[in-house]
Amino acid sequence: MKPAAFDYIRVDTLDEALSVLADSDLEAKILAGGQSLLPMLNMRLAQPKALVDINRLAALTTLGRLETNLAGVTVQSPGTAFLEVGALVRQRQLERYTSEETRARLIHTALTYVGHPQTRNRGTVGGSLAHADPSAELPLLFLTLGGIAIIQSTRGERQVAAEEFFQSYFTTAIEPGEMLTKMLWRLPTLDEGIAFKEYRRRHGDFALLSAACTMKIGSDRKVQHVRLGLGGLADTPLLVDEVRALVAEHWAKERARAVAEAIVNRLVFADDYQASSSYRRQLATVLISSVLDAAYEDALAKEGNHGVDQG
Amino acid sequence: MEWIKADTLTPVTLHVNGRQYRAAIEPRILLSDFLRQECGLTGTHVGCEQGVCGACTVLVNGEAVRSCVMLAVSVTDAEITTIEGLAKHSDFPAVYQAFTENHALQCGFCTPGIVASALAELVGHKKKEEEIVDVLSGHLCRCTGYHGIMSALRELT
Repeated sequence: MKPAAFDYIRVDTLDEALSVLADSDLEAKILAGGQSLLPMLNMRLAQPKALVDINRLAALTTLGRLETNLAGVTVQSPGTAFLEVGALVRQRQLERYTSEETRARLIHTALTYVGHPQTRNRGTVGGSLAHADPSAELPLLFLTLGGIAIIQSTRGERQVAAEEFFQSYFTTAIEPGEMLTKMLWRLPTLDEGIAFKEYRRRHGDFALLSAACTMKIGSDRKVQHVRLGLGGLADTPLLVDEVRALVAEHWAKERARAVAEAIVNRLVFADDYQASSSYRRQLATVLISSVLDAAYEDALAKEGNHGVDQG
Repeated sequence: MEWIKADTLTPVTLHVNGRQYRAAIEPRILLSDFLRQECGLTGTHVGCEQGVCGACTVLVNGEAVRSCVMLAVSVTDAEITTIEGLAKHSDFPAVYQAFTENHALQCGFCTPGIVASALAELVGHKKKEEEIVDVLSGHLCRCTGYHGIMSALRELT
């Protein structure tokens, strides 16, 4: 298994990268960490005419908390903070950073499920989102938390909301000639409950099913808002609307179970070599119920942390 | 910007185990193949060639990575260490001894990769059980059932 021939173009600046990408005859693919692209090249599932190696673009390695919004980003609520992540930040780097950042714990937890330390050392955050494997953890987290993808080309810069970013299997809002250069990941507030659950056959495999949840409850212990994302179920990660039934209500396990069943009844489950559709259906019901429960328990445990930012 | 054309042999120099290796290669040559075929460093084993099995794990600037999913032309500015270089590492005798005493290898195909990961991630660091599992999960071993390797790695952390 060896790649087919390609031109190799190593760029030293973002402008060089964008000008190479703007040449539509070249059909260049971006090489970042290569942890998805190189296997595809080796198996010749992808045979691009040219690779643009962006690993020297130090401008794409910014990583840090952003308290003020960029121009054009709507402030969702007071206390909204984003994690600014350059497209070339390695998954391992983000894993280490988020282990120290209280508000980024959900990202940290999910990252430990991504491949192995040896692939996270090399694999990039931007690469994972741009690759858009529907069962990968980082796309699911980006969608569940919400955020902004910053996409650049020789024509300029544009921002795409996480909800609009993933379009189909391995397909995103990034157009030919464009490049994902930065992401802003919304960080949950300190009193938001968080949970991540995943089922896969072996550690490091892609998820058979994964679920991430953020939930805020009031002092009356009613659910104020909740976001639930599911991975491995459809052509993109899914943000599911059915959880709205939980809002403004007191928590009850039965209600969470009913929501899980409503979601499962709407979805179509695939039969393949990994699992039958009936098995996936049952797994989804259990996993969704349990991730909702875990997020609620976490929100409950965090009551009293209001306004205390330890991050 | 550096532009290397497909199907042309371009001279590149890689820094491996403290030495320089120069060869004329196509841009599509994988780091694992460069190490084995151009450097003659056959301790780096090639299993799945899709980044899954971990046999080809080497250190690039001190970090454990898969050499089968990296292009040789992309690491001309890096310091690469293979099992041949790691054999001279000051901690290597301890790794050798722990692997021997715990029956942590049989056929040895996966061992160079595991030793590379162990020296980069585990040896001399205090690690929790799940962190050791996380590192070892990046390697497939078809002989040992992993228990021997886990015992050796626990001794080394």
